[in-house]
Amino acid sequence: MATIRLPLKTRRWVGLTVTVFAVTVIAAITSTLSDRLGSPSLFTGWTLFSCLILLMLLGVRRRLPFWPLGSVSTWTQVHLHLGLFTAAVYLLHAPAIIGGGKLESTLSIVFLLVTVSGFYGWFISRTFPAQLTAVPGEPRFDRMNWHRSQLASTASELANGLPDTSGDQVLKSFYHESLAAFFSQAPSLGWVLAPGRTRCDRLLGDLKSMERYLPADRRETVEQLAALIRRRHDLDRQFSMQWKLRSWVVIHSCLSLALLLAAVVHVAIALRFSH
Amino acid sequence: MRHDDRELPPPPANDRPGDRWVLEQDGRRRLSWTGRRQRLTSACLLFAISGVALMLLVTPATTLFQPGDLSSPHAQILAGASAEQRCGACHQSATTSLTDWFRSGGSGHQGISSSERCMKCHHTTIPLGLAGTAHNLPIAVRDRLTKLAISERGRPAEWRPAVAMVDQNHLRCATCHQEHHGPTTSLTQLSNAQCQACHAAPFGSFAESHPTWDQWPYHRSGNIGFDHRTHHDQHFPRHHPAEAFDCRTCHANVRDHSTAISDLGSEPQRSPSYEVGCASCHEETLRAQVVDGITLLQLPTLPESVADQFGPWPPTAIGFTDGSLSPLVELLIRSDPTIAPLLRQIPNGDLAQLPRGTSRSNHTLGRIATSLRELMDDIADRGHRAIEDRLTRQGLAPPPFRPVLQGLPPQWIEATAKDWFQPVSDTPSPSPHEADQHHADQLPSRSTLANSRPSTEPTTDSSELLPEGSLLLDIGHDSGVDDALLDEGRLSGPADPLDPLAAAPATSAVDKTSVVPSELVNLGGWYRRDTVCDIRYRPAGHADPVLKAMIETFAQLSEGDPLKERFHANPVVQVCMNCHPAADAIPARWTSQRNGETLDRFTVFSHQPHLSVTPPEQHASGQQNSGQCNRCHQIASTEGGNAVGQFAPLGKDNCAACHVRGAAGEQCTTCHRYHIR
Repeated sequence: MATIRLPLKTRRWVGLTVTVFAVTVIAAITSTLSDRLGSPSLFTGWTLFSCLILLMLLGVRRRLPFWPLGSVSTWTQVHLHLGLFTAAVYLLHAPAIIGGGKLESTLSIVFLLVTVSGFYGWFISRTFPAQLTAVPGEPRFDRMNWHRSQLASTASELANGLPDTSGDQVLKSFYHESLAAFFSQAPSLGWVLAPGRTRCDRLLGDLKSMERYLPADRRETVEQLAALIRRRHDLDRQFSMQWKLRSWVVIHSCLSLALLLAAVVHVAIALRFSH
Repeated sequence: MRHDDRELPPPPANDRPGDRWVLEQDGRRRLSWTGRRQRLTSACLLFAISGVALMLLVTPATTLFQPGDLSSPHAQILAGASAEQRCGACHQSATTSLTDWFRSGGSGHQGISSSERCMKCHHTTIPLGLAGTAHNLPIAVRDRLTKLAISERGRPAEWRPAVAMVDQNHLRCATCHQEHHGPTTSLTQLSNAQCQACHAAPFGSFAESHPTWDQWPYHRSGNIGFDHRTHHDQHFPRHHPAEAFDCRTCHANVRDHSTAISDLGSEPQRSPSYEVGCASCHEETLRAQVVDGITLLQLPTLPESVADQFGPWPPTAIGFTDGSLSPLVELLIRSDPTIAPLLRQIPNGDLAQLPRGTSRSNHTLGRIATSLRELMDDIADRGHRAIEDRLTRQGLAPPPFRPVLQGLPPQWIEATAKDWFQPVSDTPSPSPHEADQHHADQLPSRSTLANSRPSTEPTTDSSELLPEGSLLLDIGHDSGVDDALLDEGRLSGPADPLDPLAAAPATSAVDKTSVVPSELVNLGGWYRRDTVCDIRYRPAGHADPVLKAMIETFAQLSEGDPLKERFHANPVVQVCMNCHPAADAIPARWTSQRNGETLDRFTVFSHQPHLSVTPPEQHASGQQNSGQCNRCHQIASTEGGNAVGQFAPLGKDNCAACHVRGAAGEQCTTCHRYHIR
């Protein structure tokens, strides 16, 4: 059977339209239930709980890549719009943005954190792929250390391989004072969270200003060191973006687990006290 | 690759995506991102489980589970309760432990719903048996009303579910009264759509689809029977020609008489007290109408052949069969099941209507005479208990009758029986007046105890014996309540032989033989007349406790009981019932309910917002509201007015002028109360 694959933009519009329609239907049913003296909070509550289960299934699907259950991309699209739908249903369900009791307030806060992290994930999943593609190289996250050490050892070889002339001593001295630490140390957490070019540009500038004091045959070495600085900077940028993507997934999934647990307790209590 | 880039060796391919460990360059093993993520996730899950478990075990339930603040009334009631009691007041689940969730709570806890907990407090205003049915109506009544509504307004649209989402026979309180929405949310606030959730034939706008009415609010006559039309058209103009008929004289509101009705809030007073609103015109009439009093017991006149069979029988009660049984005495003697069938054969208790001379009639007369004698002897022997027992045997509650007994000494009954049934001596019988006067001396009524004894000391001041209303003795026999009784034409008439003034000499001294026994108790009380062998009670005036007790006792009889009809036909009783038609209810309602406290009605109305609002036509002309009652309550100008209130119909259009969306609103709950008692 032929598979019809819509363009990405069309898929997003279709997904958004379906989500808005679903929210409208749920709101109409809730209003009708309220008017008919039914239990709208029970209805929206079960809807929310079902949505949580469905949202959690994305993680299951990712762990079962061999099952013919549709592509992970499709699942992710469904996950994104279902999350949006769940946030809207939450507004219909909860009497206040943050509940009163400790359990309810915890549940509310965790739900809001999951929702906020979900929206953040939606944002970075839309923006980071293009940025990752723009950065040269495709290092695997688990091999970042290997690449980092390779760059460090190559730079060390270059610097230590220089003769002991007065001009080379300046370059060697610069390497040991500034470049060695740059290549050997992993980027700080602050830089990973908010990466910038300042350090890289400062090192490249210093190297460039030093070039006039070096003999002409050493300019190639300087350029190679500058290339290594740029590669290390690109590697750190890759690390920063991949780390954010991966950390967000961990935070989102951990919060989701806590949310599911609190929701189960909330459902049990609500059913217990609903009669 | 740029020209200055150095070729770097590719990373080792000794791992796969998803591996928990990776080998470093130096051969050391290090956790991969996947491994770290799994560890972190497990730790988070463990932390979450521990946190929730800790919260459940350590945190008090009231702070742990709080779906929202309580409404103000419930919060105030439960303010001093412990945490468990606070939740457990409404939720059975709160009184059980976590382990009880997974096992049966035992037979004692089965079937206890939150609604039953509500009824622990609300049973005083909502009938327990009907608390779960829609509008607290019996199912049969509701079904009948539903059929009526469908026949009038048609079936609902097909798309609308015919059956409500709630079981109308087993409604929960929480279906409508949603708690935990904070102190500012009204528990009784319902939308029109919610009100109509159960209605098979829903309503549209008030002006277009609400059923019309023509009698509201006058069909509910109230507890006081007051004829507004005759007072407005006849009595008031005649007796107060210079004054305007002002509704607020009787129906004062807080703006006019704040001290008089301070406890009524801002609602107009439903009716004034008798002393304030009625006594000035009706006191004398009332005293005149009740001067004859009501008979407790009267010995019938028996033929000599019958009287001879029962030993001594008063000579004044021997002759042609005559006399009637008063409802009071018949009520007391019919507790004997053997005489009850005989009593039913006597038309209206009138013994004169029995066939004369037949053995059957003589037998009936003999049995009645025996019963009367036995009654008096029973009272003489056992006192008040004898009467209470006779009432109890007929299923009547004695307490309402006790005010009657408290003023009726058994020893006086014994003395009366002794006088009436003493053997006939050779001494000449006293004249009727002398006999009455002689025995009136022994009357231990309140009046005789309170006043001097007129038989031994001739009264020097006629005012002691002749009340102000004695001029009206001649109209005391008139059972009508028309206030025209006070008319001068009715007061002037031929001299009545029983009229003390007519019989009184011109001097200040009063001949004791000229005073009728009823005038000896002019302040009210028991008396007897030996001339006709009866025991009577003369009411003291308005709100006489003995007469009220009699009426409340007879109210316990069924509506079809001829004895009750005869009692109500008594002119003295009619005087009471004309103004107090609800006195026949159980419990008796002698006074009007205050506006706004009639919780048993389906409709609720507050005058205050209607008195302060400017009507549309006045608003258009720039006038301010004058707060006039007759804007809505107009006295009917024709005979075709309502039966009780005598007001022109107050139709739906009067209300619909303002009660539209965007103005006064058309919420169902504005005028209707859900719970009907």
